[in-house]
Amino acid sequence: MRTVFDAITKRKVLITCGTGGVGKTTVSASLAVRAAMEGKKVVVITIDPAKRLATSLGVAKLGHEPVELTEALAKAAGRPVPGRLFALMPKSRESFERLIRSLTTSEPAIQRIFANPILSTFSQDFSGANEYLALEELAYFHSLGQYDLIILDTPPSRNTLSFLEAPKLLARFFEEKFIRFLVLPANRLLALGMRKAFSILEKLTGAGFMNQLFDFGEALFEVQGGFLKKLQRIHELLQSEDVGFLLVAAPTPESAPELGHFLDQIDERGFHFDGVLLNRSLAHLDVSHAGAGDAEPAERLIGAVVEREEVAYQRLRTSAEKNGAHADLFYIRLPELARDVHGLEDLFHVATLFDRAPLT
Amino acid sequence: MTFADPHLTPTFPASFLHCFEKQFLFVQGKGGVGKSTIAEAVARSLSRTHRTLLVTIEDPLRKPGDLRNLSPLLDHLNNEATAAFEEYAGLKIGAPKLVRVFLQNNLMRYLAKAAPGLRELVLMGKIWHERLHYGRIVVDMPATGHGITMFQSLFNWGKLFEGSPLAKDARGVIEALSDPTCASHLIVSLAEEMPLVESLELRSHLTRIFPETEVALAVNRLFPAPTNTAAFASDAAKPFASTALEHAARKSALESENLAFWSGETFARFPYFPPPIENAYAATVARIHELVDRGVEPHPVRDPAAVSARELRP
Repeated sequence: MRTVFDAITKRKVLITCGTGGVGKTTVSASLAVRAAMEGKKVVVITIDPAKRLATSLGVAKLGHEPVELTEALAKAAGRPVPGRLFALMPKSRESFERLIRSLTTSEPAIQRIFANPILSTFSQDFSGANEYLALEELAYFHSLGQYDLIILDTPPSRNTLSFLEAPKLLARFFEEKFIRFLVLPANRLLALGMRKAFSILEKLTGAGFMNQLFDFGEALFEVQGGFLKKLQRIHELLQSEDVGFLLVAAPTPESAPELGHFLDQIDERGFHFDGVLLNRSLAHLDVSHAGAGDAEPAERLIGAVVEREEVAYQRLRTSAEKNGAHADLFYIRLPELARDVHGLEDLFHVATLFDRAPLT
Repeated sequence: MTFADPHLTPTFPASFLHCFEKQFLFVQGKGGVGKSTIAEAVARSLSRTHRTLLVTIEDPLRKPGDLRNLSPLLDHLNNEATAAFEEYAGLKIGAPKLVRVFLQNNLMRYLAKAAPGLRELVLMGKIWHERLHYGRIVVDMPATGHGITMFQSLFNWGKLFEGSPLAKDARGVIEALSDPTCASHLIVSLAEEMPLVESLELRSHLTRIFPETEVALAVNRLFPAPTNTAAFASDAAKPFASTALEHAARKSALESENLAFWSGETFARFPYFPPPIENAYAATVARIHELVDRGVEPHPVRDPAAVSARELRP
């Protein structure tokens, strides 16, 4: 993709990735604002326990169903909005419930799953399941076909890659062998190594836990097949031309190895990568006075930061070009506001500067 | 910039100084606020007088479970769940042959890597175990939510594993971390609305889990205020500044305004140091370390004879 507008136009789904604190949520929201200004019917989704999306959109609360913000955007921007803007913030508990209910209609099976303490730990915020649940929401809204563009703000995570790893990890979790072993006593007799391992596990964790683990296996046995099929479909969706990945990064040289590493992982999975959004750039500032003898410490500081941005950009390019498949990425920088981002008006300003920002 | 600059005069509140007196210090906060920088600077400062361990949690750029020596009394551990799980199993099971059977089993390997919450429990267990080898342990915790999960896992799994050796260990960790003479927390923030507000939420969360333990606050990367800030006050309506000076003036005014979210709180302040092109992380750690050393008296080891055998162990 040559520009961010190519991505907005050609993709049906854009997934923003990046480490914590780079402003992924703000960038995702301003991308959505821009898409709406370009005439798209767009929804931005975030599974974010810290409610940052609501704050940056300037709304008090977002829930499990999409909320339309088109009118509010028109008011904030002071002009008509050709498209439509929606946002939602699913709670992981509800997403998990929707997932389980889509896999089985048997009410006793559902109750059993919800009653198991291992599973309820599993579905809690931050247990690593959020990454999967975000994909689940994405697949659901994609299948509805009601939006021109879905922007998925990936959950805050320790590193950029954990989002990509989540489905594989879950697939292993639901692997047939594992669950079969838990469920079928015959297998327990056969696998001697497994039996030994289990008796050690029981010594460490206690009989109560082991019973719950078996109960957990049985509860999952019922939904396992459906779940694995679902995972496969999600994987195919992520590989399709409909979906583009974006990296949100700080405009510093340290982001270059992160990009290289991320691209390797993207390629390995056969996903498509569209571009890099460098957030909170100061490159729009006039720093000609920063080197002067009477420059204030603050000016020198900004001068140093801007100088690093130039180096950052060169290294990002080199990092991506090393990887031959990524010659036509877009790089844009989103300038840092001289005030906190508080609502749609601020997002609108950031979104407007997508035009001014392209790097060549 | 020199230390004559009032902006850089280190005046640390008592809450911050107390962090240096406890065996465990958990450095926490939102992503991108500079937790690692401050954790490492504090660890370096502590290692003036104590055998100190700096712990990061699953840094993907470092080898899992890697332990390296940074300076005579300072080690760094990249704590990783699978490595910690193996070590723990070894300690508990004893017989090497059984340990192998256990660890090579697919299900166990899977559980160690992906069982929700178990990773966090094992990571906490490893940190706790290191108390036997180090006088001070500084943990560079994962961002807000993941950090809380690590503490929460101790309680969740303690219950799930009731009556087992694992539950007993989980209780041991909880007891140590609940003891205000043993553990403390430092929450790092930037002077921006969201991290400031989230930090206070994080603190109430921590206080709910560990009611007795002290939680100190710090604000990092404060913009130096230009001498002439009034000139730009009228531009506050413009979303973007045009010159470096204008941006700095507005940014620093905005930060002072935002710090109202912490009014009534005492907190440590760290300035924004101009980053060099290369090795910015190490350079910033060095600057903050210098600042901390200047502002914090080396904490005397109470009974050097008793402690040295343990803390100065090679």
